Amino acid sequence: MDRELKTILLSTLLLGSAVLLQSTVLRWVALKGVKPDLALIVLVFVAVRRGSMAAQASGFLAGLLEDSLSLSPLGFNALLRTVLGFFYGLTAGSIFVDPVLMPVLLILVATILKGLASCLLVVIFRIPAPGFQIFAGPLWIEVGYNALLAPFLFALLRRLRALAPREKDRV
Amino acid sequence: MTGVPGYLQRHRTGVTFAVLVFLSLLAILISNRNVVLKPKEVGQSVFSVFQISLNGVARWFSGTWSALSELKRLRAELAGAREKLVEYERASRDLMELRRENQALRAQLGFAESLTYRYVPARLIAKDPGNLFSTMVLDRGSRHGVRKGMPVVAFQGGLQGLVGRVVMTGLITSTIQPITDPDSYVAARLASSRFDGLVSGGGSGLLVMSYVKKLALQEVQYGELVVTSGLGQVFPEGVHIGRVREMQAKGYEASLELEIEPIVDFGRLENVFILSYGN
Repeated sequence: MDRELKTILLSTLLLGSAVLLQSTVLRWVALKGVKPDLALIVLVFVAVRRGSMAAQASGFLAGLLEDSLSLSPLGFNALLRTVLGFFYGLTAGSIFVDPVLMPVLLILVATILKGLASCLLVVIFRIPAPGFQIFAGPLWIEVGYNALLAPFLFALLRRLRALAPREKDRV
Repeated sequence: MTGVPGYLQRHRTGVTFAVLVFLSLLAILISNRNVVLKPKEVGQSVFSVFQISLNGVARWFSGTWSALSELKRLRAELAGAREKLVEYERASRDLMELRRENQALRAQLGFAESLTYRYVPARLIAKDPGNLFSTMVLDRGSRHGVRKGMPVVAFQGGLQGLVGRVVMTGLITSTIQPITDPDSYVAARLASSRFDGLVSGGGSGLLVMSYVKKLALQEVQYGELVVTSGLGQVFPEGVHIGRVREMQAKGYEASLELEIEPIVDFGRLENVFILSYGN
């Protein structure tokens, strides 16, 4: 099987599992009702290691799964994850990801960007979203939660050989 | 390779990106809630199997952990429950008496028979994967007789509180739109002062009751109960929704706006009842 296709399948499986965990188990560790976005952390990891193609394709598929389990319109999360996967994938091979600082920074920025993009979609398409509060508490809780978990999840994902950086992207 | 195929091959990442973004936007445009439900229903039926399994595993671990302390507590509760049972038996006899009396009075007044509902117990197995939407997934679906539009209630603090209504049913699960959703509307009534209004989700877990006559300002009390009015026939009459927390009377508006705190604490919701009607 083509290595890129294998990467897409594996990362979709990982992202899908993260989405299912978020909807079931993680609601018990929610802080003030806010859950961490494990799928976003996995997506960013895939993007900086394997580039745009793998990240956007798996982001799109996992986003569709998320939409089918949510009251969000079909395509809402698919679009967010496709766009984030594509742009983060452009950085593959150009940044050195250390064990702690870079994962925290990458996820911090990704969560804020996701928040901004969500707001934009909610406003443009007039989507009724009860959790919609631009730059309010929930967004910052999610930013902190994701950033805190990022180094641990990155360390875990580094063990997967199939997600090792491509030869041309090695820094 | 030259021409269009060559161009597509050279820029396949960018082309794929454009196609995926286009497909997502198209999906949002045509699905903005209730239009494209079929693919979502299929998705829900398939993926709910994983949700149920994961939820079961997590419950097994937490259940085993708390089993010992639970046993001790249950023994103490059993003793208390036996005493209460005696009291309830007495109350039940009184209730039967009152019901008979009520039926007789209703017959005299010529009231129509109200709809009778069957309580289908269900367990909350999943919530929205993200933090923006308020989806709730229950472990009862079309196989158990659950249909779109059925009301969902829960018992908390000795009161029957309104949770929401079923908006999507899979084979073994169903999706609930809670009353805290801004797109949810419930015909409501103030329990004591009897003014009507419309309750919708107001963000941050609170509710807003609008279209209440300004006249109500003199009579509505803080903490007054708000119940369903039964108008529109989506929700049964008399189910508790919440309590009045704030009142807003703008000079230029003809009606009042009340902030309502829901009876149901959605953060610790686990077991609910779907109100099934018909056969």
